[in-house]
Amino acid sequence: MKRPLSPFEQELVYAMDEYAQRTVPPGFDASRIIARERQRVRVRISLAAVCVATAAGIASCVAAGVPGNADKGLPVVGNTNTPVAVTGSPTPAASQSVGTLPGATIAASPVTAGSSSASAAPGLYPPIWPTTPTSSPFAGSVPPVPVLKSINAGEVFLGDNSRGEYWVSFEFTGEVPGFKAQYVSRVVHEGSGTALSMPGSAFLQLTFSSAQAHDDSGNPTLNPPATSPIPVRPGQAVPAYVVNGDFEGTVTVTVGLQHVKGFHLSEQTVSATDHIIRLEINL
Amino acid sequence: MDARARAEFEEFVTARSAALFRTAVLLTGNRQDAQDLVQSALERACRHWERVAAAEQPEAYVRRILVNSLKDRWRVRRRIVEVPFDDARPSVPAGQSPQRQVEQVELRRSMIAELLRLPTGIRAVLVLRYFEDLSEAEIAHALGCSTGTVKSQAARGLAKLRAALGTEPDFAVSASGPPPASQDPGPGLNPANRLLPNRPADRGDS
Repeated sequence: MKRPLSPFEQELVYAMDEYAQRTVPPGFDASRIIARERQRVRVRISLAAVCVATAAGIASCVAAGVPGNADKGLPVVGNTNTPVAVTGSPTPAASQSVGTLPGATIAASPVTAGSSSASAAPGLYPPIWPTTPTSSPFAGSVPPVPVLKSINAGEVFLGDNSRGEYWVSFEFTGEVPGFKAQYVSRVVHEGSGTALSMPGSAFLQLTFSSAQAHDDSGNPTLNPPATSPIPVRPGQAVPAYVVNGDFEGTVTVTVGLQHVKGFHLSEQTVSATDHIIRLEINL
Repeated sequence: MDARARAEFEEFVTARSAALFRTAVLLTGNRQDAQDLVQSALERACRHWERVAAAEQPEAYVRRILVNSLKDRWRVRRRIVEVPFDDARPSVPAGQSPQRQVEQVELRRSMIAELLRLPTGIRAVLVLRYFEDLSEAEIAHALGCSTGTVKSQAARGLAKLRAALGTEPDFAVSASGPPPASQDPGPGLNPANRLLPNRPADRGDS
């Protein structure tokens, strides 16, 4: 039998309810948890394999060393072939298994079809990217002008969540537009110059040249048109993005981030007419 | 994990993760840590799902994992707790003087701020007692301690809150009026809901 609450306790109940209800729960994805758990087990098994192989290597090294230089405690130079071969082989295997993780995780995300980045070395994925501006010129010819069809965003976590990336992808029909990416101090509507209130404290602006985000009748091709900030993960690392410019063959998209982080852009060809420009951001 | 266990786990995550997250928000004091905490608790639950599913109350089991992970995390990482309020939306029911409303918002805000300054163990007891509406025995089970400890921790926690707020005389005066939520209980503030540990409002909310 519970005793009735005192007014102070009652007030505490209301305060807690109010505070807890105020935060919108994120969607927890059971299948992702299961997938991650499987990966963890796999990594564990490969680490265990490395340990076992190393132990075996050391054991065989010691065993081989016993008749010769055991009393000196030195490795036996003449007999190193076996142990080196044993201890050496698991390392590529381990790094390979780590290297396959991104692909496996990304495959679950809605957009990505191909590999994420050619520059990612196996076992070092993702690298720390620079925060400096980057650009790539338009190499094709217009018309037709490449059309921005969709923007998607997501995140990839690896292993124990200490590694991974956030990503934003831009899907274009037509050729790959030129693009430029840089951090800006404030977000304005291109053209009018009016300031935009954007969630986040660092703003990564992408400018796509020879591109448009509307059809020939002037209707926006994005759904939603994103002329005001679209929340991605409110309150988190990538809170929102906005299309703050779409005229004169230039589309400007700004991604709000909580912090200035390294980023990286890559192109992917989905089909003869569809291309994806993928922005990857360090955690 | 076979197909049936997988389906069970998915159902559990869909149904209960939002509620676990709300508890975690109170335990950690911010959204990011709450999300991490629930995520790692769910991962641990997934790892031992057969054992969790076989338990009488799977949710109680996962809550226990949640609270234990909290203790583990805080052992490693002690941090100054911030109290970010997303907005200053006054959710105090209408029908009171504006000044009274402001006072009440302030009081509740300070209560949460003080709650988050309490030691982890005491805070967990208060959250399970007043937010989750668990009995002393249930709290003792979740925290892996005796009911006597729960009682003393709860009493100590309340005393600390009262002392820190220093509002007891004022509060006694204000509390003589009608309880605020009795006039217009908002969603989730309905006292009747408090009798149900699994509030229906949380179901399917993910």
